[in-house]
Amino acid sequence: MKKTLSIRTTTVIAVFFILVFASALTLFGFFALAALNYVGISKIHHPPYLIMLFCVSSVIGTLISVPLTRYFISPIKEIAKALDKVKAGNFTVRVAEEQRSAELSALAKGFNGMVEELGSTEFFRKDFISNFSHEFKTPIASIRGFAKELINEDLSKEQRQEYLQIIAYESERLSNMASNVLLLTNLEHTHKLPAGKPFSLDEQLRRCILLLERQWSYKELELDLELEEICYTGDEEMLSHIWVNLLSNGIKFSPMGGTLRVRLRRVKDKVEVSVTDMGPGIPADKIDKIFDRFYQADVSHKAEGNGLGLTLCKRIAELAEGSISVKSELGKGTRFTVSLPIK
Amino acid sequence: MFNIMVVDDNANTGRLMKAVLTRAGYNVFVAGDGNEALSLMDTKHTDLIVLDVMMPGMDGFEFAELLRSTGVNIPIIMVTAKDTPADKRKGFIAGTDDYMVKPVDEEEMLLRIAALLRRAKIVNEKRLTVGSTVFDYEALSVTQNGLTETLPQKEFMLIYKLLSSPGKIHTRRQLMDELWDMESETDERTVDVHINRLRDRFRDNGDFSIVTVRGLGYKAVCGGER
Repeated sequence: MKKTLSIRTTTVIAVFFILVFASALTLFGFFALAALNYVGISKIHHPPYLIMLFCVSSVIGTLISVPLTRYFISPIKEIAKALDKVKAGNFTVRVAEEQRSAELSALAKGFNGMVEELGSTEFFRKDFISNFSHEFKTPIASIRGFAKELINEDLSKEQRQEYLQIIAYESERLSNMASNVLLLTNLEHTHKLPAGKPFSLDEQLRRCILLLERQWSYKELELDLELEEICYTGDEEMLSHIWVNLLSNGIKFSPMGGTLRVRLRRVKDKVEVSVTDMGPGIPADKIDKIFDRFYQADVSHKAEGNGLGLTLCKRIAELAEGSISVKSELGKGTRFTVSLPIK
Repeated sequence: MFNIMVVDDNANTGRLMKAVLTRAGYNVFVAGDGNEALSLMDTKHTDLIVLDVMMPGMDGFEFAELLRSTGVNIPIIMVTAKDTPADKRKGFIAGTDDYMVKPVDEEEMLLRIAALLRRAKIVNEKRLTVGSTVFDYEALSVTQNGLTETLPQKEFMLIYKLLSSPGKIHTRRQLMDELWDMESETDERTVDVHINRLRDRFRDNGDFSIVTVRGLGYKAVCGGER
């Protein structure tokens, strides 16, 4: 590995050598001329000669430094050119990270990192917008279409009811989707959650569970709760989105009268929250995709969700410097586990 | 028959609210802004206000503040698109009793309105009746089977709170925070102790019972319900 020196060290050494070399060359020239008897050696004591020697030395030194500055400037020029390309929208450009000096290497690394980050956001945007338009246009097309149909007078009562149900359903879905998308987009531009205040994590989980009481009591679910008393410091509101989403999903996929297990415990320097349902489970070939935007693994429940809930959970968990994982067995159930660091 | 006033500058929203609330059995009138609302209140008795926040002229926060500052304690539920915690806080500080973010689930809104009206009635009358048992807020007393007895304050507040929203689950922390004013000596076990005392006291009362919801908290249920 090439050992890179600091620019300052290199400059000092370069200046030193320029000065030494220039003076050496000048003196050599003078002695050479003296040896060839063009000039008397004693003349070196004369001021005009000294001044002349000084000028010659300066000129030589300057001439030597010209190629040397190119040595320093060329990598910077290269980065400037790359920047122009990025400005024009090219996010694939990179600069060599092995540079002659430590500072330039750091600059190159930083530049490459920045372009990569920009590139990934851009990709999300394009991909996202096309997915998003499709996900929105579809229910809107239904709503518009059926609404127009309803203007007709010759529909049967059953048809009318059916079309109206569809409109109500799709509108509900759209409205949920809009809220999620808004939240997700806001989080897209966030890199870290605000420091937050200390609060009781177990109490927060209880409140989230209570929030969904109507849903779980409608399904006559049995709640199996084991919540350790844990005081956590973080963004309370953002975390509540994770819990409500996971609990909602758990309830949605639970069979009538099933059991929903919620565990909160501290494991060394982390807290773990797990939500387990006794639902149909997620097939192995789909389990990697469930955190993708707009992805819904279960077609039968497709109408009730919008595919963004888990994406949101993952994003928030990551912003809280934690992680989310899933374990599922077909026919048995699914467990989502969120792991967050705690001091 | 309760009178509900809906204050919203969007005509369609007002129309929708009126339709939903009328179907639920309320008498509804709509105001397009704060000033119209105030004039309507002069002529019509209002039991509850459904209040939008983003309105021209006087916004919902100002309207609520104005009402509260003049001593009007009619329950208010804010229904608005403003959804940040800061907005919610502002709403509650301005004096709203509940806060819902648009788009609202109509069923949930009706449940909340019913709860607000029930609580307002209890607060107004300062008594709570469950079957043949009557709780008197001023006297901290309960009358059952023709006998009246007073309860220690904390016990009374606890059962009063639980019975004000029958069927609603309260966590120990919620009960503690509301009734014990964050005094440092109490902890959640204290709630358990008081609940047990209440159960002892009302063991033979068939009008209601206190149910433990494992892992969550307590709720009061009426009659023989579970």
